[in-house]
Amino acid sequence: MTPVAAHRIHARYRPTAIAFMFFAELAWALVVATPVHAWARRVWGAHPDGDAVLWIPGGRDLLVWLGQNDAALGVVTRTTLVLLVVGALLMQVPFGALVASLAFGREDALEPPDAGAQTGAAEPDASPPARLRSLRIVRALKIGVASFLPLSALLALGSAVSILVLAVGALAAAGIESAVTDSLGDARAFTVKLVVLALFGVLAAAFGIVVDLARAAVVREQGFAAIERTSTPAWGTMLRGIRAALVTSRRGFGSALLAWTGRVVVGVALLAIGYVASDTFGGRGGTALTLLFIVHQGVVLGRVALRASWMARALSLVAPVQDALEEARSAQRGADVATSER
Amino acid sequence: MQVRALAMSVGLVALLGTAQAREIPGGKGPAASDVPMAEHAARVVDYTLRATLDPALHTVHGEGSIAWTNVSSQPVTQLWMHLYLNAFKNQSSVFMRAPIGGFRGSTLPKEWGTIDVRKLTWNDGATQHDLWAKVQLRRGTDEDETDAAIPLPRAVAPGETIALDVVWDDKLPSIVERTGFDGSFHMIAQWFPKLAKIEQDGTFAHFPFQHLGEFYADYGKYDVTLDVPEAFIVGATGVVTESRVEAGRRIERHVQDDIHDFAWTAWDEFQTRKETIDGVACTILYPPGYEGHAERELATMRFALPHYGARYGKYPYPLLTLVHPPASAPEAGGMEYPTLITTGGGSYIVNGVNLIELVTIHEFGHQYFYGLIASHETQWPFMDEGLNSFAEAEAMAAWKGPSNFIDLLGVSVGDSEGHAERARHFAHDDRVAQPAYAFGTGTSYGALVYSRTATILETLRRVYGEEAMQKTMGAYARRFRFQHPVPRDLVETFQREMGNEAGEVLRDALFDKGWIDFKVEAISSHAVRVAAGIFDRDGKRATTPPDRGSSGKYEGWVLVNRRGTLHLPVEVELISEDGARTRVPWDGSTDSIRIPYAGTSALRAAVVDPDQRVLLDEDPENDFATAAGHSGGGAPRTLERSTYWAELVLGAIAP
Ligand SMILES: [Zn+2]
Repeated sequence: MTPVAAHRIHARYRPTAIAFMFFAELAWALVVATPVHAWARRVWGAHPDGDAVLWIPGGRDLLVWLGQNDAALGVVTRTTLVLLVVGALLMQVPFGALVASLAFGREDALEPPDAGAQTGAAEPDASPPARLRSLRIVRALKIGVASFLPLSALLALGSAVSILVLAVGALAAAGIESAVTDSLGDARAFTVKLVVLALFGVLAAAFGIVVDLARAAVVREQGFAAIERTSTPAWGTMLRGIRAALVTSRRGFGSALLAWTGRVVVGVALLAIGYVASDTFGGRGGTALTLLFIVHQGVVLGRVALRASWMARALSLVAPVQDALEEARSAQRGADVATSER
Repeated sequence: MQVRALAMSVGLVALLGTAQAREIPGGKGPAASDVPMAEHAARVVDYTLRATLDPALHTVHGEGSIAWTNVSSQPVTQLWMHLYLNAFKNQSSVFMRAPIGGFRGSTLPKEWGTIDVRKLTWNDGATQHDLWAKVQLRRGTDEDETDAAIPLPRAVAPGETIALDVVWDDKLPSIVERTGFDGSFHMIAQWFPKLAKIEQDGTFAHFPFQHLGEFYADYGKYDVTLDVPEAFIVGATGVVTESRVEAGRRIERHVQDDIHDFAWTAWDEFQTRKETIDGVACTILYPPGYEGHAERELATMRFALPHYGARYGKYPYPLLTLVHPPASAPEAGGMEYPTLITTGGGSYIVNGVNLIELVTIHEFGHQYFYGLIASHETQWPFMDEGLNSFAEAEAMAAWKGPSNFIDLLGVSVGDSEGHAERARHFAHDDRVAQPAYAFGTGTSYGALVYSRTATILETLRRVYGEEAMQKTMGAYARRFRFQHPVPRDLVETFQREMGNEAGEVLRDALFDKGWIDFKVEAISSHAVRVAAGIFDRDGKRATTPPDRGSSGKYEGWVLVNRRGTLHLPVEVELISEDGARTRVPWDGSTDSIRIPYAGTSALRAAVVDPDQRVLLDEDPENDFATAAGHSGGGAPRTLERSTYWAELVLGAIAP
């Protein structure tokens, strides 16, 4: 196992890892969907048309189902939320495996080194390394498992900060809105509120980008630890990851933001396709339902691929910084050892 | 029905004759549009008023005259006058002390409101009686001052008209319910001393301002001159006959016949849009930045004016004003006055949720079920709010199709279905047909008066058909235009136009908590075997061994129960294993029915009311059954949707 050179980290080289992440997510989504599905099946499953009646225009039976004054709605909602939170944590492992597959490969190259090296370019140092074979899934998963704690800590930290930023944003937006309502009228004041909210949204997104860079650094460090057969405590890994992410952001936040935004735009377009499909196929069953399922899963697969592509970009941005920091750290460690030996 | 009204309206005389001639139960009588309607209302009380607004102090100074005719059959020795702004005077008013939550107007006003009559005189020939000197503003220890008794120095004979002069001062409250101010926005309703409606027997339908429940008054001519600062834009009931600016004041005179109330609004920030729709000059007054809302409200009127005209008779006034109050004054919204309605909706409303359209259509519908068909809103609130909620849902469906309320993210909800669901949980709690103040909570008032009435009528429409419903409601709306009908009038119209059964369902559901729940109790079928044994047929003896050779035929039955007190016809759908579907009608007259089945495959399932006509059905979750050993349709759509959503959420929260 060996690190992939920064500029050769691409999601398109790792379709299997992407597929694995997608299937992991699909599997857990089925678990999350179980309570509500079981509930619908229990109440409406015996109908000859099944739950088609819930999704026909007018929605009488949908309202009846949700409006029934029994405990089911509360129980199902709560269980679903718990499963979503558990799933968010569990998904850190396949996510770690995906990032590990992006960042590392097997030593035997799949392709010869780039053309520049073959023709004996003037600067041998600049010759790009070969495209590497994918890690075996078990190997990648091991790194994912090793990254679980620092990634979960990053998830908790990232969520907490995002919620905080958005909450402060909501308060600020409401305050500014009420302050300008008298002078601007409530319609324009509402626009101002949206702008303020959007600014805080951008802030939260920017923070999310830094967290993603930290995620990349964390998994990469766990990969190196696996190569060296050492282990590092989660807390230290996370802190070093954040440091690498911050240094990376200071140097080139613009390109990170651009890469992230581009993928978000495509992701939203995919959601729109999913929405149109829902709208088109409505509550139909049979072939239409199968088609809808395929389109929806295509959308999800596309979004997983976009995330992989973004993490690949995050890895290539953070890798040189992380390597430089690590070099400085080992130099410092070497100096310390030398000092203590003296 | 007033004697003078009959004398005054030729159309009405003709109408009575027609009504008696037509006794065709549920028959194919003439279409509703042939039912004649009165052109004018009985003129009982005319108000000629002048009002001056001080928008800084939020006061209105008013003066003018009232011409009132005793249209009852009895001499009248005492008048009743409503002083409804006093509902906001203190916490001892009937309005403020009502222990009611769950509806509108449940907060305390930041500024109290009052109406003080300075002068009330009767110019009786050469003498001028000071009526206000003898006023009884309160009853006993009750501190409510919204319902004043005014003893008269002499009796007013039946048919006699008296002339009163009045001077008064309003202090408007901060908006709690419908009326008052918010900053410089003023919505001015229930603002002048208003005579209670006199009934045929000489009694007055007078009542304090109730927390739940609305209004009731006699028709007449309103001639009101409004005087506001020049910068203010005015919207008001009635046609503008004079408009001028004088010494920094804007003066507008509004005159309108055939109405029973007058409301107005003044704000220095109103934006205006005007359009003539179906011959009616529509004006939208809205806050800056609400152009999108104004356009949606206009679009609604483009549909609603012709639609309601065809259904319930042509809208008779030359104008309609729609007021969209500012977002800070939502309680001014969603209310109706003659030729003026208030709509509502916050700064942002999602496309795919037709809330603005629904509110606009509802308030416009009140021009009929309140304005033109002026039943007693406090005594029988279902007759305006309930019938109007049905008309609203009917119109929304006619305009936008079955997904007329919500059509978003693959979820479709119709207004009628929303009403049905809201009403379902309250069916056994209270009568629908009872006074507003008899309801225990605002929630049950809303669910029963608005939603259950709408659901009862929508059920009748779906069961007895669109044509029968149009004919029936159309006849009711036309026959009782300007007539202050009571519930009996409504039930009798249904009996006559839609048939006795429909009339009985309506009466039972409104007055006796009538309810219904169809249930598929059990289903069963088996293969028809060839009978075994020794048979002598055609002179020959043959032995058929048992269990040999199926006839390829199946028989069985479906047991459907009708729980509850209402009798409605319904269809039962029988579904065979091979996919064949048969509909069997059942008149619903008995408590249950065992429907025989015969087919070429086993009976798989049965559904009662497959087209969801009986919206009143209390428990749709028991409207179907699948035979033992067979499977239903399951819930694959729910699984697909929830899986997709779970994936999206997982993808969003876990990076
Ligand atoms: Zn209403």
